[in-house]
Amino acid sequence: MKLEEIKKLLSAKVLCGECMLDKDVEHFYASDLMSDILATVKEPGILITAMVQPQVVRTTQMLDLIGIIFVNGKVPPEETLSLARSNEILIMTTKHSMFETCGKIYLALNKCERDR
Amino acid sequence: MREIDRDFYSLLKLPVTLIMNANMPKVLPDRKVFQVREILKINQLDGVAITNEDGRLVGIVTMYDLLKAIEENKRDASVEDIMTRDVVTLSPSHTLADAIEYFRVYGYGRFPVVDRDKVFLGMVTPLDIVIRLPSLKEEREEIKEEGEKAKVIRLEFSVEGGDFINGGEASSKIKRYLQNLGLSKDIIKRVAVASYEMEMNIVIHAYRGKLIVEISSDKIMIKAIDEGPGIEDIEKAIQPGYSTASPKVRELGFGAGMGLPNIISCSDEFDIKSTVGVGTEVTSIIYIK
Repeated sequence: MKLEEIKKLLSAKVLCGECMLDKDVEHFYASDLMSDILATVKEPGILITAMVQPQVVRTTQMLDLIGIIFVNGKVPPEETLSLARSNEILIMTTKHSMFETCGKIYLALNKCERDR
Repeated sequence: MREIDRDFYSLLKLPVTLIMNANMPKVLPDRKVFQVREILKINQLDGVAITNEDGRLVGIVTMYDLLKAIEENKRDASVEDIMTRDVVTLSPSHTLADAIEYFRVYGYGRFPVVDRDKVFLGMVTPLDIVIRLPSLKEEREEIKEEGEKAKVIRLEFSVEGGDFINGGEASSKIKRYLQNLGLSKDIIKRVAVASYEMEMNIVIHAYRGKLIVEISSDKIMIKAIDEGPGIEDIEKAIQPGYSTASPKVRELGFGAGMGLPNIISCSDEFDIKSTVGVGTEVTSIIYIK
């Protein structure tokens, strides 16, 4: 699923890494616990989280994830954004909750699967 | 190779973002020529990036361009009318060696560093390289390479307890270093996760510590040695879900009791020693072959 579609699906605002919107993503991970993310991520993809501190970007970077979706309309502080910029990681923020965000993406991914 | 040569060549592999000047004044395209000249004078700069409201690079202007414009009675013109629009840029993935090559090939006096969205991150001039090289050397002190004969590369970083802003910086450097060595993605990820968990353990639990990585031909050893309260019950500490982290640390998404189990699952060999009131030493070995 293209990140551009995800952006539309979630009415999300892209805060950095706009040029990556044409990328295809199949794997999504949702968690606020850094160690759980470090333990579970196997494939490159997108992290969905409500945590906005710079450590989220560090965690993302260690795992070669390509971007982060912040839920509940959260906007990360400048330290987080600048770390994301210099590591070329996409950041978007959506007003939807974690539950709604995951639900929407899950349904859309299943639909993609069926359409194939 | 002589000591100094090896040191110099390893410096060249560092990313250009470490030498760029990231504290450049922000200059919008509608600023007047005379204003920009003042900005450059005050900041003792010879050139500056022109960026729009969202920080994207639209051009650069040099002191020479500005003085020439003033001579031509264009002191009240907008700087966008005289700036260079077609700018050669560097990206954060470029190394110091790339930057030097750019200066040699293009012969320009400065290169802006921009991300993939053209957002301006900083400026590199030959002077930045000369001035910042000594401080990079200090940084390089952390990255001590030893024993080429024994073919062991040793990287060492100090980590401050409680420093959540810079926590993870050492692991980033380690990861980048391994990528430059061309190791497989799987190995790099295991080392990155283990070293990051170890580094964050020092940040979360200890007063201060060291993160050491030794890369040899068949394995990578990561060692975290800290001065801290130590661990009372190691058996418990390595159980998934067990944690002694404070609520404040948990609010940051850490302290879920998965740190040590994560390190263990990334490691081929694992060891932990701890003395209450003194500190903890964690060792992880990952085989390359």
